[in-house]
Amino acid sequence: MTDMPEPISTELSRLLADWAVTQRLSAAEVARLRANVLAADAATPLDFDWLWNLMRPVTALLDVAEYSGRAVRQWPFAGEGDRPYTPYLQLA
Amino acid sequence: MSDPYTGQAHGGGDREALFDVLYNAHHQTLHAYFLGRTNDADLALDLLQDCFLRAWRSLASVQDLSDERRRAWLFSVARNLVIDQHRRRATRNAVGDALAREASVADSTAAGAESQAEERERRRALDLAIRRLPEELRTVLVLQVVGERNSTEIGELLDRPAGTVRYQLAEARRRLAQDLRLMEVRSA
Repeated sequence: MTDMPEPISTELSRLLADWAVTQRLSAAEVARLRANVLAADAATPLDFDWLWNLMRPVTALLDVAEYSGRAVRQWPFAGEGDRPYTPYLQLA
Repeated sequence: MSDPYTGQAHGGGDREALFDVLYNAHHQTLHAYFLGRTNDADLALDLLQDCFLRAWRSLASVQDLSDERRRAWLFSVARNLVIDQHRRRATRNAVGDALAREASVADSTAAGAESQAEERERRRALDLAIRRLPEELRTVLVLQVVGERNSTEIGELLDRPAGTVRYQLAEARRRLAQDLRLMEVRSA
């Protein structure tokens, strides 16, 4: 499969085989993961990501509200002295 | 939900039996896929669990598919999970660093503590070298050595010609040998 000399290829294959053994899931891990899947499904019958995306037109408004609030709180002008700058609407 | 062959309704046990067929057939390959793509053993486990959770919730639609299409469905879910993960990572800039799980299998062949330490060091060096591989080379390599898939199967899973996979496997091995200085040791 490779152009490398046979002894090197064999040594590399041996190293990779040893490494693979340490990476594969043990029987206990396989069983635990299966149990986790069944338990997770029983615990959370509702997919919140799916629901959030479904409600995207509404949840997007929440994002905008949060962003706007941050924009006001981080107003770029400094206040006078130690007094923080308070944005307000000035009537002409 | 009904059995595709008998038309009889599936009970909870049948549902689990169908899930087990999927799980037993694909968990090893999917695990290798996630490991290769993410470079992170813990994350690979999380994604594997997420993938099968989606399979469990979608059994009603998966059960009527052929084996080949079930596998394709599972891998499309797996690909999307990895893409989502890469997006999240890109924002957090959190590069995975947990591929190096310490070997849990005792080395029964090592003669003494010195050779065990040497073997550990060699394994650690290989681990780092694998991490340094480009993602597409690492993925095919891990699918081969951990997932125990051949180049034709890997090509089907990744939608690449088997010839391309063979080339990538050879390139991955060449880079590893170079990184581990196997060539130099041999020629010295």
